[in-house]
Amino acid sequence: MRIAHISDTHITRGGAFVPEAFERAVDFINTEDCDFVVHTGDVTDTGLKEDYQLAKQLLRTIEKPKVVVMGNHDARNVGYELFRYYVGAPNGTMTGDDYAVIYVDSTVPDLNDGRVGRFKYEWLKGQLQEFSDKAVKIVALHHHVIPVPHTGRERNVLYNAGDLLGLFLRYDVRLVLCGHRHYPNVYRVEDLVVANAGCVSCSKTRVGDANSFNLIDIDDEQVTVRTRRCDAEDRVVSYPAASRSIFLPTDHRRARIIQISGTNITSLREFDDAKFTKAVRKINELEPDVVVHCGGVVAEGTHEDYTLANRRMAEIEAQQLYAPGPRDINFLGYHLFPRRFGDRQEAEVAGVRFKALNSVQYDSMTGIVGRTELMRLKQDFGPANAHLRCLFLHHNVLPIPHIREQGLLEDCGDVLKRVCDLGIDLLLTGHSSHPFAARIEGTIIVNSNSLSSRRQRSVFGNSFNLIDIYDEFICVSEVSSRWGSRRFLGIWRHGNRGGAPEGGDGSEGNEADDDAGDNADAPTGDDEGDDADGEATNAEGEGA
Amino acid sequence: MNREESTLPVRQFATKKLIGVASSQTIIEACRIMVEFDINSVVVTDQGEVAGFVTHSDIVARVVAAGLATDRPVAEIMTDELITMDLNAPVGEVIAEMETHQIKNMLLTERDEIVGIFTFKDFHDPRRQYLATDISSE
Repeated sequence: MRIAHISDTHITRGGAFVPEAFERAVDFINTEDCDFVVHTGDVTDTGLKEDYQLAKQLLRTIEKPKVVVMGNHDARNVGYELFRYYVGAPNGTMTGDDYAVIYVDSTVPDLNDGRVGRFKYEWLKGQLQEFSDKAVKIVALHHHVIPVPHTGRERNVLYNAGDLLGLFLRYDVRLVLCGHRHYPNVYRVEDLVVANAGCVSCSKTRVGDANSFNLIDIDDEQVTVRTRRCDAEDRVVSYPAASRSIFLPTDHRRARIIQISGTNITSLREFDDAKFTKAVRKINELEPDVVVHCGGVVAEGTHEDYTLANRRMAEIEAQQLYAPGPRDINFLGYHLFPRRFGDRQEAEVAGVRFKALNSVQYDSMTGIVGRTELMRLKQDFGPANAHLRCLFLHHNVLPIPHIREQGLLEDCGDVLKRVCDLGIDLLLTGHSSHPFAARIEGTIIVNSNSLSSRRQRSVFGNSFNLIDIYDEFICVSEVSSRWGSRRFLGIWRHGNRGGAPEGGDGSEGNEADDDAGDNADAPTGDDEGDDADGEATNAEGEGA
Repeated sequence: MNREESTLPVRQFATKKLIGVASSQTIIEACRIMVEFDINSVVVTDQGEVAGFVTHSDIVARVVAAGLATDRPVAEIMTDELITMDLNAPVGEVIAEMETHQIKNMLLTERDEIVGIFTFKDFHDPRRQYLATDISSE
């Protein structure tokens, strides 16, 4: 199956719309052997009637079945009402013998932010349930689910991106298509490929990039995303199909890491002393090589809390490493944290190199790593001999289920990209009090729940994470603070084995010429999307 | 679990990664793996294919109570007539089938390959996942 994935056309008269780029893309798509087209939103620039009228004309020049998603620009000026008339249903499903494409409106009127609210979320879940047996499940929405690099201050993800990501992973969705950020990017999260399209015909590209769109091939063996860039080299990345799911332990454990966060030690009621005591007993029983604290050591940065924390954390027998959380450095904490728990912590334990990233800002819950620190990371923490590398910080880099997206770093798009590019093996975070683990590209990202704060979000209760490293794989489990019972968060083979992206430099055989319109062999395609009266563009819409 | 939840595909609740042992490994090795990973069952593989399944109950009944030496191959005590269900089966049907067969674990298949497991531990999860955050209504 081949999909042309376009986004952010921003059609308008004048403005930032580049008609020539749109025409070139359409010429290429019309002559390319692709099954259908998915447009992930911002069809128009302003959501005004004039823009929709022009957009309707231009979309009709695409001679393929198409699915068109609403973007935040389309919803402006109450354009979400016009979208139904000029484009089609904002939510729906297009199905084939072995695939289902589910598209959902993620816009919020008059805001650039996105959300898939309660009813749409339940509808989406129902669609995934109904089409659970389809070999290829694809979801298309405008707002990006995973932070995108090179987008400056990256905080504008869906409010409930974590819930959506969790849903996609549970239902084994194969491909998620997004737009919004005008920057083409592809990640693999577990076995899910998340493709962001750049803008196909808007002059507002990022870092001077060309206009672009994606051509995506899916078969039983792999998903290949080719980013076709206007007057520039294509970028190609391929992800093999899911690796075998049975793990045969053949060796002894190399290292055992315990990851904790949100101890929130204080003499006040917020701190659950009994759970802390039980958790520490369990941690000592498990005999870890190292305990990594991802922030939230104390409830507030006061002398009293730090004095108590010093005493209580000393009950843990293993070596401890710390990264601060926002409340660790408020009040006097900015002075007390480095004095009591160290600053810029780095260590090498049991064959693993650890490095803390300080993501906190004084008197702010929002985190940032910053360009300087990211540059240093590239210099200081690149690939090194046989060691595994583990970064740890407080704030989230991936959206976490059950959380409104407030724990993400300001610059998490760039941080995530840098971490993936450096091939960091483990990234540990501790914000948001909910356990979660997923591998993105070659990096396993693990978030820990609060160990002993009454303010935690998991129905499993307070917990910490157990990370066991073997020669062949890494196993992460959540351990209940109260009962010591475990449940798997995930198991992954080391590095990129079984899931390596390939390509990335456009060097693969390119069956398409740059002069897209010259392909004489291309089929004309049929357009089942446009109704006879031309009112709707979406190929098959079922309103939510 | 309410009626609506029981119609959800078991895919949503299953553990899709399995710990296994080779059929030539010993019973004591299988036991150590169960302890190491805090799990109550392992799949047994033979030349890369799933050949059987061993649970805590099998260890108690076929090894401890029967007085069998723990250095015997695990293949001697595995269940080789596997009860499986499809990954798309409704979770309610899976639970009913587990009750019928009086088993605590159900192996799950997709396109005739064993790809996951549903256990009694997973009963926690329907409740957990019901709580998908209501960020806002719309």
